[in-house]
Amino acid sequence: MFKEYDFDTALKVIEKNTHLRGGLVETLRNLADTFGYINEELYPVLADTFSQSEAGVLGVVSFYHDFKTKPRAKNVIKVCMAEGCYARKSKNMIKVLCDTLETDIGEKREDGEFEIEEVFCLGNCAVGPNIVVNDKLYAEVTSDNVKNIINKNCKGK
Amino acid sequence: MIKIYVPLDTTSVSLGADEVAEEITLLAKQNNQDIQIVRNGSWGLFWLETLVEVEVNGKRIAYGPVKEKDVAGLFDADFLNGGEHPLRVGDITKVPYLAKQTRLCFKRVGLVDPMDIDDYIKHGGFTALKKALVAAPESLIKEMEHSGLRGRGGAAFPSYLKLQATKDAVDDEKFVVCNFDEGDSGTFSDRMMGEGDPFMILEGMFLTALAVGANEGYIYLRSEYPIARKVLNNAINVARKTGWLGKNIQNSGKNFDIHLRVGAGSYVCGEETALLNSLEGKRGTVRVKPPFPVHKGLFGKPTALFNVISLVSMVPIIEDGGKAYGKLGYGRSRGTCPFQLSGNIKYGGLVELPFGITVRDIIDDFGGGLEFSFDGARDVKLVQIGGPLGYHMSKNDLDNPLDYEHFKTLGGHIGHGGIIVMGHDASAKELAHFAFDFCALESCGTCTPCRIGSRRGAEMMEQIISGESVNENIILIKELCDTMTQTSLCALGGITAVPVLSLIKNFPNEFEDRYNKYVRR
Repeated sequence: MFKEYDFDTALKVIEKNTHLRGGLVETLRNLADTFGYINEELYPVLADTFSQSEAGVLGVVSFYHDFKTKPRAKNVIKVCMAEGCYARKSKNMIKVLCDTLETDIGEKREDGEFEIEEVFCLGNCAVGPNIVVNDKLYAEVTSDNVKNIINKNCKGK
Repeated sequence: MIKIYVPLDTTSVSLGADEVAEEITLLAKQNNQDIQIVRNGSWGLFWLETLVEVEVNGKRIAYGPVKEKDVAGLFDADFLNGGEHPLRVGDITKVPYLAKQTRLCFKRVGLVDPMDIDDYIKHGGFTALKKALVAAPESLIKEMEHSGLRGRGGAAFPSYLKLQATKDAVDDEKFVVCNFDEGDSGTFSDRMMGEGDPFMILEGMFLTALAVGANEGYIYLRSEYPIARKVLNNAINVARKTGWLGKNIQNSGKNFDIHLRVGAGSYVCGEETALLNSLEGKRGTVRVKPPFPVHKGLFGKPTALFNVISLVSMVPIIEDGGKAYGKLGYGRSRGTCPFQLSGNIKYGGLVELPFGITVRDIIDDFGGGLEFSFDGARDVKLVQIGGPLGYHMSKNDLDNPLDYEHFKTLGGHIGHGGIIVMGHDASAKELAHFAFDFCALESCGTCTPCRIGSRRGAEMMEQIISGESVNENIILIKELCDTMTQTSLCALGGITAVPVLSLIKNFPNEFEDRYNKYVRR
């Protein structure tokens, strides 16, 4: 899913975007897509490239929900908390999901195997409740089938 | 060679469309059948997904909902020749759900191959653009005025005024921005458009550019839509290669190019000025208006910023004339709106209709009532219209027509056209809490009423839920709502009161002080 972070690859990602006008968010987007998070050792480089302070870069990173500053778990599960899924009884399913993975919404499990991230609307509201398991979207997830979906798609346990 | 359509739409894929397509390819090979799989957009009849269509003698025969395990049975039933099968739907356009709609924006979604620009042109694509390339900008804006088109993103601002103001602004550079940050829960029309007919969005942006005199456009897409990202990227590249984007387009001497930028999970970036900041690579905070984006928008330049559906609505307006478009609709809400029906409903999907249909009609005629019951109750309890910050109506309000002005008098808005139906398991208190909590989470922090008010509101709702000082908290919440509405910088804080107040008004018994009622007396 995500590549192991290394500085040289990160530099290449940044270099690809230097010509973009106002490209900091887009660059961070690409870094997040590649590594899953933004390593803080990149702040000086980003600050230099986009002519602003390191604090300015941190300000942008911290503003957006998608930009994490810590390495991600092996398996990232996104779960929709919005009303479309709520109306289709997502509440019970979310409870079972948390119990199964032994972690909480917004938390990474201590052993780094699982992480549940809350999202608000995946645009799939007619067939919810929806979860995303390692980039694959599942619809009609219920408290009965959620365990199966996790087992089928996740490494580790 | 037999053409088989399997949607690439997010909803279809989430229900197994990729696996179905693979299985069909595999079995066709085993049976020595020469087939070609086209990944189209979805028709928006989501209970039939994955909907597989086979082209037989130039006609398309649909089967659905097809699961991976059904494919072998379809081959046994000779579906490649339109054979009988329990899942056979027949001609999809004859299904009442679709036949009863007025599809102007979505006329090609489901029908065409979204990756193929020739297919787009074959089905009438770029007709409006060819007209516009030789027309005067003023005449384009005149058509928009006749059409009565108003912004479909939520604010319902007359589109022609925005175009006129951007055109009148004098600067060396101007921009067109497409707001594809469709964050409201219960909405998916932009996504379906981006995945099913991306060239129409490009055409709409180009029309806007011609009207205002811009040479560059940006699409700001939300990150939750990876398939739309792929399809739009392809569309832009193909359009550049075939001379529909870039320099001297179709030898008209006009230049226009589009860049795709992807957001980063911020809801408030759907607000126009926050979106512009985000496009500039900054924190997605809201700007103080004025100056308005039409004067100082992206990179400080005049910018015509429209929602996806507003942009695609411009295409039929230029094609058939503003007056024809303006004939549809209700009151001052002209034209069609793609309503998105979801939640606890049997037949969720996309319903494009002229304004004016009542909520009840759309839920009963199209939605088919509730899918899940609660303690045997099968009636609607609550309908949320216009996203998380929309109006929550009880079943007594269902006869209200969907029209901008009508919802304004109710104290709400149609927003982006999302309709979420809920049954009796939904709790008004929980939803009111969610509204404040959501606002707190997504607030950009620029103005105090939204940043602090939403937190205090969420805390008070928590107290109400646990039965603490209920009446006192409700009085405070009403005051807080008033403050947030009057003093917030943008609509996020400004309309968080809509769900809260409508829930308190329409479900008063849920906000009753049970403790005092039974004990203190």
